[in-house]
Amino acid sequence: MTKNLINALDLERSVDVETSTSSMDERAQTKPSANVDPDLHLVTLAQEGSTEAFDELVMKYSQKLYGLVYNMTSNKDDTHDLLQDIFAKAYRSVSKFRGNSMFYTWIYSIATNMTLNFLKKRKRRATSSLDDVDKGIQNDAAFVDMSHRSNPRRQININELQKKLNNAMMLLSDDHRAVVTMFDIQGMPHAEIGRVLGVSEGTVRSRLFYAHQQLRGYLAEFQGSERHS
Amino acid sequence: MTDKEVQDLISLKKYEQPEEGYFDEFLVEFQQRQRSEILKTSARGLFVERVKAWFAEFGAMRWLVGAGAAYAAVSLCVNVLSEGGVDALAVVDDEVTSVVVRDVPVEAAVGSDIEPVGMVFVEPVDFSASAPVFYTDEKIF
Repeated sequence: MTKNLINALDLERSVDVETSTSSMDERAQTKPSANVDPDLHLVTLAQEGSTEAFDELVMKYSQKLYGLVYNMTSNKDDTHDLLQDIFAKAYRSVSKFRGNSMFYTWIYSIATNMTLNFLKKRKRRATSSLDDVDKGIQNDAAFVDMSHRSNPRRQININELQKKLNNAMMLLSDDHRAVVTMFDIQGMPHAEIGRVLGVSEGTVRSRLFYAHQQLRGYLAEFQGSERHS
Repeated sequence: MTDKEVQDLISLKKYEQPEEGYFDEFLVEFQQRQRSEILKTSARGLFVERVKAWFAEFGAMRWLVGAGAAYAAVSLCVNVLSEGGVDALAVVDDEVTSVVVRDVPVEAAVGSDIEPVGMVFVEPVDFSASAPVFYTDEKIF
């Protein structure tokens, strides 16, 4: 399980890029940064029709995008289906990718937009059930260690904590959850999140502030109940 | 509870990952899906996709190219239609397959050498037949 930990995103990558544009998939199309896109070669091959190159991109980003989509939907089946759709859309659109942004930003934009659209539809249906907890994580040494460090007063019930974290996330609006997922869980910098969502860095900070306020209220209550139990 | 503590708690969610081997299976499923999508795509769909891709390569010139293509298509249609009338009878193996009748006033045809189209293929009608007549595709006129 520990082998599956999400790799921290490279925070130094492409920070000094200007924010841009409008349309859904092309909102990530920003002015080129000083850094060279590490995926440029694979993307070029994929644009020339190499399915192997695109497969490599799928392997490279599936884990990161899984984390993004799962933490926004809280449902494994939905995450799986959405992830398939996201890569299928990226494959169909890769010829339109002009390299004005990092491929990473581009595919994150596709994933975020598709997930937000999916969540809107799911709300309308209102029949989906969220996963309670990820059973495997309770045996994850890193998670146990981290959760103990987060609450040094006493060993907390991991199952309950996980449930509470999921509930806390689901209390947030979709937009706020997206920002929290990218910043707090995936470690992306504000500027990068802004580019992915097509909003300013200030908007990202503001959303984070309100999201943290909400989470603080919800999780503080949880800490209180922990003390009483 | 500080902002940092909130962040630390929420960041625990990064450990929620699927079971071992999930991403390998995911890729296999993606490849299968890709292939089946390609097979499902109709020839027409592929043609449209290729035309779009070709068209997109022109960049800013694409409107000019599009206008030219539209003009050529319209011109072709007009040319084909203007060659209507008796001269444009399409004859295949001595059978008339289509007739385009030019709108000519009756007076104009009087005294000319051109026989009215309606009279060319006139055949006498036999009303005496008692059995029903079944027409075949062989001969309509």
